[in-house]
Amino acid sequence: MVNNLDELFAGILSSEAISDIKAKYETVKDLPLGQLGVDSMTMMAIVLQIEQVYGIQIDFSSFDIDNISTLSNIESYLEHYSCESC
Amino acid sequence: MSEVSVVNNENLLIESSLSQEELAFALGYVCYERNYIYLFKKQYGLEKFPLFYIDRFLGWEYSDSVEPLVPLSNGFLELLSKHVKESGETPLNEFEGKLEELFSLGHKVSIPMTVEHVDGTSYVTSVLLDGFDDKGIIYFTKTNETWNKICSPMDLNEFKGRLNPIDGMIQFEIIKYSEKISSLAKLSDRELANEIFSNLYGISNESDKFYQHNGTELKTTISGLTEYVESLSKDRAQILDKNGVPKHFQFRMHKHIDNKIRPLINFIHYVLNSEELSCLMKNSLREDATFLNKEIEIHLNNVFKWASLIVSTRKDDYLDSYVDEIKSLERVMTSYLTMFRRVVVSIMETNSNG
Repeated sequence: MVNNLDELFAGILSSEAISDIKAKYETVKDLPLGQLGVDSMTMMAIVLQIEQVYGIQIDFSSFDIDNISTLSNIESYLEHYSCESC
Repeated sequence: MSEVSVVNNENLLIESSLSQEELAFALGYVCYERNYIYLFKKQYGLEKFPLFYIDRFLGWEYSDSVEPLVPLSNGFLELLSKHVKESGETPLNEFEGKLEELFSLGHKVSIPMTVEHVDGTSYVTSVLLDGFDDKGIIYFTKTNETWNKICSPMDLNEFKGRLNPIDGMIQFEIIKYSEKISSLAKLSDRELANEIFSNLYGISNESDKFYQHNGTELKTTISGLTEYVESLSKDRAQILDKNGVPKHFQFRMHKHIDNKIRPLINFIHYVLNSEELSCLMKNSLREDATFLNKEIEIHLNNVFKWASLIVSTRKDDYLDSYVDEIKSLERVMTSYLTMFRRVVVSIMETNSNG
């Protein structure tokens, strides 16, 4: 997922902030996204980007926003999603 | 080396910001309440903050302001006014002198300051001033989702430029060291719940009914939430503004709904996890409380989800889903507040009998 961070956070975080996250990925992956500079009201924008980047369609009515509360959670969600669809 | 005024006062010496867990908890409250979570925790070692929200079962009234739900009973605010804070104001050109005077007395200052969102738009939020040094640097503490730092430095002139004078006067809150809060921090859960409810907030209960000291019965209502639902039809066009959802509505739709309800969840969660308090409740009530607390939390998370989707897309469908979710929240809220009352009755009755 680290390789897709630029696309996932495009327009949500500055390119400097994204580079910083990539450099420190292991130490920041369990922090709430807010602490990485993500405005809470743009959280679902990340889900819209996930749909585009990974070419998947997410059912928002059953989507749990905790799935994207940290980078680790996003990673787990994507792994789980790909397992479900295979 | 520059001297920061606050460090001279041992009552106010605070060395660390909130931990991740403490921060996650604090984010469930309004910014001005967060200053007190931080201070009570770090200054007094008070770990029982949720118990101050014991009177919130009364519900809310509606407001058109940025905070749509106003608690019908806010004993915590009254407690602060009586024992902790007082209002202050000073002309902008006398600001440094006033701060120096307050810090020399060992007080802290909470003040509204303009800051910027990640997207560059600005908003006003409450920060806690720690002190300033002889190099013209002011230090402040702020606890929010993107900023959890103590003693952040800022040039005093820049800071003054971020204040919002009214007719040339800067308004703020003076936060004094409080012997009362210090003594509350030493009480057990049962003692503290009783002290807050009966003595500090002046509420009594008789046959499952609650009364103020003057005899007025306190009745629970969710009318604030009902009126909020109604306001969403009226505000629909403004919310879906083609230039983006205005910040006023962004705050109303999520943050200021969440931070009025989350303290109730935290209260119930605290009681359930307190051996001393949960043993005063019947098993069936504990089960109801656990179930309904989770239920409300799920609704709040969904409210957040739809609000965030609306902000990102401004789609009609998502606003419909948001309205449906708020209506679901409204439906479950009556049962929730009834459960909350039963929890309070259990704690109080057993206390007074025992």
